[in-house]
Amino acid sequence: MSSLALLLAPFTGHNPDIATFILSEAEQGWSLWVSVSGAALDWVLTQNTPESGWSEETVRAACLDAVSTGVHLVADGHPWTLGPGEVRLGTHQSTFRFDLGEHPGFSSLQGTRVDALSQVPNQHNVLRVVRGEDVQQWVLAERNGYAVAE
Amino acid sequence: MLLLLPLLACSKDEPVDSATVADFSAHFSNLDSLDTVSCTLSDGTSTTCYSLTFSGSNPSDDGPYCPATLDDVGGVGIYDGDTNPGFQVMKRALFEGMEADGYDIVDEEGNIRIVTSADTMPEEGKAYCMALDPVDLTLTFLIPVTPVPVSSAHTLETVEQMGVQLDGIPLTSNPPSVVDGPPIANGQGGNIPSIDPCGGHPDPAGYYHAHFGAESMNSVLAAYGMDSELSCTRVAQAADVLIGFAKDGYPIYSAPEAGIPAEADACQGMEATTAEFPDGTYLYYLAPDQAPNLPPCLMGAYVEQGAMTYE
Repeated sequence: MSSLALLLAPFTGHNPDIATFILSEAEQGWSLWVSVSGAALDWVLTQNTPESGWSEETVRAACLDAVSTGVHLVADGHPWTLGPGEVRLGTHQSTFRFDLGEHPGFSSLQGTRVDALSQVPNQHNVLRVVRGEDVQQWVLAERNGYAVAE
Repeated sequence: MLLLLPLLACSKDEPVDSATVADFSAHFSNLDSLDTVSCTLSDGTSTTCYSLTFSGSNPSDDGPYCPATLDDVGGVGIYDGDTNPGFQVMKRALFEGMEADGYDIVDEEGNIRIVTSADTMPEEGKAYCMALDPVDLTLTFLIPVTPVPVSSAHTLETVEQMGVQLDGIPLTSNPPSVVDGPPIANGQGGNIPSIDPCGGHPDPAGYYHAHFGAESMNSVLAAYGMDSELSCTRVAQAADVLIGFAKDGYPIYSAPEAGIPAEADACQGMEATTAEFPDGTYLYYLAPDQAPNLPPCLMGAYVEQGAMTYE
């Protein structure tokens, strides 16, 4: 399934306009997990990429790029750069994980902007920070410039 | 002056009196706020919409509805593969059918592969039963104050938001295909969402939504011979009662005792008088014996982008 023709699904009417971004800490450090509908990725790829040269690897790279270039994390005033990412593409939902490495801890994400997929009409990005049982959540959308305000 | 006429003909953006707003508000429970706003509908009509905001609409969950093993029984699912397809209870026959079709959804010990959270990386080449954790979000719906009929019905697409229940739970068209799904090059199919016995489940982003009208769910389960194993107990079953509004503004009623009247159209809709609309209105009915049971199409214009937003 490498033809872009198969990516050209009708979009109007579907409701793939919400994606989830989860910052969570595990033994190996922090990760950013992203859950995106296949239809939203389809929309972004068909908007941004000419209909040629698709292969499994180019699609995977384009999806990673579409997500990672729209994530600008700022922890306690300092940029927090995404590390290498991996993705499992699913026909209705795809899962991404980006390494963020060790971090001494942070109390604020003020200045963070997550405008990945913002080309999708009515796109909302839910950003969650999970520290054990404690969860902070922001819904980022066009109305707030996809930016965290605390 | 003549050039302005087509524009004026498309404008119905008029003030709504407070009694009308109060009457509409009285239909709902769990409502945080109800305002009126200007909106543009799918046919180009500029009009006034209700803006309804609900928070905390996730119902208490007694799931999960993915069975742990082949010997357990979960909720319901709709499978569109070759082997044993259709609306069915989530149990051995479903998962063995999926395995027969090449989806690796059962491990070597007979456990069902299950995804419950967005922060889990699925294994390459494996298929999963999806039972995602609910997370509360505040949802806002835009619904035209005065429905605007359209000349040709809008067929609802897979997972298209189609309306809102009276308690603020979104009504969503058919769940995604297991086999096809929205196409993404090299994307893996085979994931099947679990649906609770009242016909809903959390989205990957966490908000609960309904693929069935719950008030008629037990008649659907009976029609498919599933009522000996499952029933909807969270929502009272009732015939011919107002259950919500479609995003085109027309009301939705549960299935009448005698089924959908013969004069109903392909969208399961017709003109009728009801306790809530004694002067008559166009309305939709839930189907008593089809899965899913929501109307398959809409006869009115609706807000195309932003009919449902999240906070």
